[in-house]
Amino acid sequence: MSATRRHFVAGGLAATAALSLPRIARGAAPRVVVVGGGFGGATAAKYVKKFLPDAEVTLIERDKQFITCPFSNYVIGGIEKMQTITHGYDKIAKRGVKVVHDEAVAVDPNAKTVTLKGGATLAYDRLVLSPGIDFIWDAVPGYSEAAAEVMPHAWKAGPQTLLLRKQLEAMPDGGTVIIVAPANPFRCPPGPYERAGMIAWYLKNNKPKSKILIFDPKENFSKQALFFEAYENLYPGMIQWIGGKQGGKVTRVDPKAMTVEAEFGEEKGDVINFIPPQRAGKIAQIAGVTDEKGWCPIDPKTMESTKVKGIHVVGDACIAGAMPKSGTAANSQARNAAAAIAAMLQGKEPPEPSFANTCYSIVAPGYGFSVTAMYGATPEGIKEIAGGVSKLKAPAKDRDLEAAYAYDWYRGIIYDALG
Amino acid sequence: MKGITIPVALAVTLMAGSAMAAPTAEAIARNCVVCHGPKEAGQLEIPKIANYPARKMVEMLTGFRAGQKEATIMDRIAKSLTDEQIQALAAHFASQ
Repeated sequence: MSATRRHFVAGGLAATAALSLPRIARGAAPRVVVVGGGFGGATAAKYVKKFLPDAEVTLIERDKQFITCPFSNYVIGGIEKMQTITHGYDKIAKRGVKVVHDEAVAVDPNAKTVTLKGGATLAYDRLVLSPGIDFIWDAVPGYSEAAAEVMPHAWKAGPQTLLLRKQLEAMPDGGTVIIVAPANPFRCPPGPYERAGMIAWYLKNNKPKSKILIFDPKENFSKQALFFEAYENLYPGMIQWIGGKQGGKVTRVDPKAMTVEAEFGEEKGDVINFIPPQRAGKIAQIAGVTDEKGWCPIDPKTMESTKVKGIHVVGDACIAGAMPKSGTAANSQARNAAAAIAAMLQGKEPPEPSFANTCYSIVAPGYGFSVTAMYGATPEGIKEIAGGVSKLKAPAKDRDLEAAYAYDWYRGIIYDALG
Repeated sequence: MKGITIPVALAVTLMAGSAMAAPTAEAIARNCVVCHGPKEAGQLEIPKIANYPARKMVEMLTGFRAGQKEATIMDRIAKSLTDEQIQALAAHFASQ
């Protein structure tokens, strides 16, 4: 039996037996602290409370409202409003989750405490980190947090989403929009290409002489053939993708001159959407659960960190094998983590997880397609069991149905995480 | 039944090949209800599956899995399920 396999089977149980069980055996309610109120964290908090109603579950989230990245491209394209993608935590609070609007600034895995910016220290039996992503601001010369006010990333939904939208509204007809896509791995693999479609929808109807250039260090990307088919069907000649082989890797940006320098040459943009390279959210680094590349290795059966016992990591921050960094993936990982945590806190064997992902992309109203898969845990990581993408050349009614399903998926995940 | 023999074998092989243990129907079902949510979720187009007749669900899922039933997305998802899981999911949703 390999070390990985041994850990896979016994890691969680050992930690439970050594640390959690005695306290709970004394009759105290188990304490679960969840950091980050996105799809992963909200779902984890809700489901731990559901599986273990006696547990004291605290969700730490900086913001009063959750503005979702899914569907934020539709705000950028002008077919949805910010209100559609903005949600509160009142419903999960009513379910018994204690929602604390503060920021986790320190984790002590030995004392099992989380310290908040506001000064409070919370003790936990099990900690869930769902911190999402942080940007590596200085990865490309010329870009910075300040530059994001000129060349918005709009990769965390909120003011940045509106900034990009406003820039598109202010752009003259005949202008050039440049989208700079990051290298793998990054949040929402189909996102930059869905965004290109949504921007094209706005431009086609308002500024039809304009064009969109996508600069990309990659040689292929999620649902590529479906996106190319859609661009050709809906926006012929408007969107140009410059991939890795064509020299699409960006080497420098200049926010003053509004230029992007790539391996193939330099282009000037009227609107530049620069999506920076990413790593796990800062608290994961502070807690010591990240690897040398900045992401969090986990035990696929429990989502428990392989670096620090007692801490589970879900969502974009974790290394989830074949699963992409998506809202659905985070939601699915969080449910399984919650089931594992509930079992471990009761001194039971964690149940076998079942993971799913579905990512819809809408590139025009009534034109949607998807990638989906089911996954399972193996000692080597999370592996895909089966799945795939929508068919190419599908009839218009299928694209229309999948666009409607995207909206239903959104309603469903909001309910599952926050309802 | 001939039509479903191959996908079942394939699913079993895939799972065995990657040393993947079988999750319970409850664990799998939690993924289903994200899209096929309860009425509180407010979904409009995706069919509800709570209290769905078990026999009909088995028929639907095996049909999707074999590619014999028209689908946009469920054909891709159903390929992950074994015969036993389909039976267990059908029983799970029928009793809700």
